[in-house]
This record gives sequence, structure tokens and C-alpha cells, in this order.
Amino acid sequence: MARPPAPLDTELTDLTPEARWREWMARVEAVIFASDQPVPREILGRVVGAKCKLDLLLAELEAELAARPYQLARIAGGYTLRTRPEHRDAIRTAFPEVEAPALTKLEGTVLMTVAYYQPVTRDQIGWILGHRVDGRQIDRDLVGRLRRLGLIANGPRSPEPGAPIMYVTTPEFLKRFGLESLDALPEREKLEEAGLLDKARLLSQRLALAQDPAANLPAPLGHMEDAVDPREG
Amino acid sequence: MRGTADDGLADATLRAGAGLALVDRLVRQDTPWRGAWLDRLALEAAAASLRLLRRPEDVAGIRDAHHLCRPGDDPGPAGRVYALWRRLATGRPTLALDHVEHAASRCGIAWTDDLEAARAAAADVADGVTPLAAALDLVASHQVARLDTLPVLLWLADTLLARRAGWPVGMPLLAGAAGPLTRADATSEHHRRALVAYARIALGALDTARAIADQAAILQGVAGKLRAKGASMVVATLLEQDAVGPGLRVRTLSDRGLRRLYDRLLGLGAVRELTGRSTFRLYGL
Repeated sequence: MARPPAPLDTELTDLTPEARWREWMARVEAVIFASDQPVPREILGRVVGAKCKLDLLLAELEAELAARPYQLARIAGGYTLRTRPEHRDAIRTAFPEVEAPALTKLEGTVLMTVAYYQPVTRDQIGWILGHRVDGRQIDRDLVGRLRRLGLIANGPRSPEPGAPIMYVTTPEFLKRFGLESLDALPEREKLEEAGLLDKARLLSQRLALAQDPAANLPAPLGHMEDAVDPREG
Repeated sequence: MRGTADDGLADATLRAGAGLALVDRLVRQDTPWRGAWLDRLALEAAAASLRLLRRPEDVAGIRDAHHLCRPGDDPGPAGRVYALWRRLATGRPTLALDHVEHAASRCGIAWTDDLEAARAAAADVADGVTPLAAALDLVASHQVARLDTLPVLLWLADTLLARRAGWPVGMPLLAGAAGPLTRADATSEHHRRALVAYARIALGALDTARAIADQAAILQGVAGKLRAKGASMVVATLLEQDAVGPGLRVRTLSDRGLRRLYDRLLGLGAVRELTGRSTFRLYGL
């Protein structure tokens, strides 16, 4: 930061409306291109005029990139450029050594459980997935790893003995999974209609089991054997 | 809920106007319990917002998210929406872009052109327009493409109403009538329904005020009898907030002392226990 940049002319009143629009669009694309993080709207707003319709501009930019192998993506409240999913294999072939911190199947399942049922405790996750019925618990380390990856965070305490932490998803989670907000979680409406997002109902079996430990109850969402990573417990 | 069939537009206007005049008088008075009243309305507005977003948390879930969250932890979706409405109920109403954008982003909502158009329109409503007409028109004439921004539109309309009415703080009301307010056709029938809905929520807010005022009178009556050190701060917080719980920090009171003070207040009938639990209890007027 040797010297502050000269104030940028954002209004561009000396240009024709059309040229002004092109210049704004180019600036916005350049800013998004230069950033390795999704760029929030308010930052894009710094390089265009006060009257610029930013959503319209971004929609046009998106359309313009239609023929390119990358696209404009709106994630976690910001904008970023990313390659289209169909080029995944090509990119993996080119950089075999680079591996995304992949989640195990169980980690992915736990993460999605937090996303749909948040705020939720570790114990509740186990119950929803049916692990406790098998006498297995969701590992503290597993949740710890999701936290270290920045995908979930500590939320409010649960009002039960020991005040266990309830977990919530982070903006980083939305970013990594390309979601605009939590209502964009896949199939949320369908799951809701099927009654599968009713946490109280899913957890009611826990209470039944506490009262009658001998009862052999089925897991609310079925057994998740196929989701269990062999490295786990 | 529908008004009776012969509810004409004039009648609806009259009712809404009466409702507004009554809450107007109350919100301008600096009653000792105004904070608790507005915070309770913020809580109800948050519950209404979460219903709009099809989230499962109810009033009890929002209270838990807010009161059982330790400093530095994330209160989650319910706690964040509540924070948005609390902001309206505790500060001078403003439509400045950086302020409202910051408030929305704290709740995990990115500012959009839809919201910016609504904010800009709210910021330059002509002088002659009455507060209620301006607020209802803002909701009716702006649509948002993203569901998660709808509570923010209603929040902007409440802010606009408070500014135009010259209130010292905002009053979270319009989220409770989102249905009739957002059906954007410019017919007089739509207008009538929006007015009836406003009258209903204004009268509901008055009922809430009455209940809180009665409870506050009992609390203030017994305040002198409390011998615990720090009791006056607990009493002040009860008058200022929807609820208090185990997380309240009082320097002169141990956790145990605080619990005993809550029990004493409960025994004196000065507060209500709000959760129905035997642990992690929350108390309020």
C-alpha cells in the first residue's frame, strides 16, 4: 500500500450511456476476477455510478459469459467466477496433485444434517441419523474437523443437562456449496412437506427410548450404514 | 383473518388510523417499560419473519437462540433475524444506505437491487404523504425476487413509518401482516385488507403493552423490597428487554444469587417464567 489510488471516476458523465454501461461492466468483471473471495455487492458498488442497476449489470455479465468455460456465480451473498462443472474432469486431470479437502461420506451427511436442522447438538445429529440406536455416537473429532474447515460454528447452547453446544452453518458453508442462502438448500420444500424437517418429531423417539430403554426403535431416517466411514469408530 | 364483508374502505381507514393514533401516543411516551414492550414486538416480528422464510423456529426457539448464545458464538438463523428487528426497536429509525445495508448483512442477507430500490423510494417519499399510507404503499409497490429479503422489505417499511411519524424508535409491526400487505395489486380491496390488517396488529400491540404495563407496575411495586445487591439492575433490564435468563451479567450477584432473585420475583408475581422448563429458565414481564 505505497500510495492511495487516485479517486476513481465512477459516474463517467463524459461517456455516452452505452459506453458508460460497458465500462462499468468491465470494471465489475475485473474486480470479481481479481479477487479470490466472492465479492459482496457493496464492494462492487464502489466502482460504478450511484444510479447503476447492479443486479441488471450482473445479469448481463452472466449472459455474456454464456459461451465461456467459466461462469458468474452468486454465493454466500457475493459474486465470483468459477469454472463450469462439466470441466471438472479436465481440471482434475491437469492437476492430479491438488485435492480439495474432501469430506467423507459421514462428514458430508453430518454437515447436511446441521444445514437442515440447525441449530442442532451433536447428540441430536446422532439421533436424527439413527446412530445412537446402534450404540454409536457422532464423533467429537468429526464435528471438530467440520469446524476447523470453517463449515460449521458454535451456536446457542441447548437447554438440556450439560448445556451442549448447538451447531450452525457458516457463510463459508454457503460459499463452498454455492448456495445463496439457507432457503436455497436442495429439496428443502419437498423434505418439509414430507415432514422430514420436523426436528421435534424426529427426536421424539429419543424420549420414548429414554423412558423404555428396552424398546428397539427404528432410526428416524433409516440406518446410515452405507454412510459410515470405515475410519470412524 | 378477514374483516366482515361490509367492512368498507372508509371504515378500514378509520380503524387503521385509530390504531396508529393509539400506538403513536404510547411509543412517544417514555414509559419505563417501553423497551420491554418494543422488544416483545421485535420478537413477534422475528417469529413472523421466520414463518415467511418457512423456518421452524417459534417464539420460544428465538428466545433460546438469543439468550443461550454465549458472546462470540453465532446465534444461528433465528437469532440473526431477531437481531435485525431488535435494531429497529432500539435505535433512532434511519434509512441511510450504509446503516440498513450493515444491519441486513449482520443477519446474513446480501443487499439487492430490489432492496435498494425500496430503500431509495422510502428515503424520498414526498412530504405530504401520511406515514401509514407511505409504509403500506412501499410494501405493496415493491416486490423482492429473493425470499430471504422479504423480512427486510417489511423492516424498511416499519422504519419509514417510524421516521414519518417522528417516533424516537422504530416499532416492529408490519411483519405480522405480511400476507395482506404484500399482495401487490393496486385495487381498493387490497388496500382495504392492508388497512384492516394494520388495525389488527396495532390493536394487538396495544394488548401486549397493557399486559406488560400491568406486570411492570407489580415489578416496580416490589422493587423496593428486594435486598439482593444488583437487584436494581435486574429490574431495569426486565423493563428494557423481552426476557432475562441465566446469561445476564450482574457484577454484584453470583449465578446462584441471580437464580434466587429470579425465584423471589416469580414468587412475588412480578415476572413470568417464559419457557415452562425447570432449568435454563427465562423470565420476563
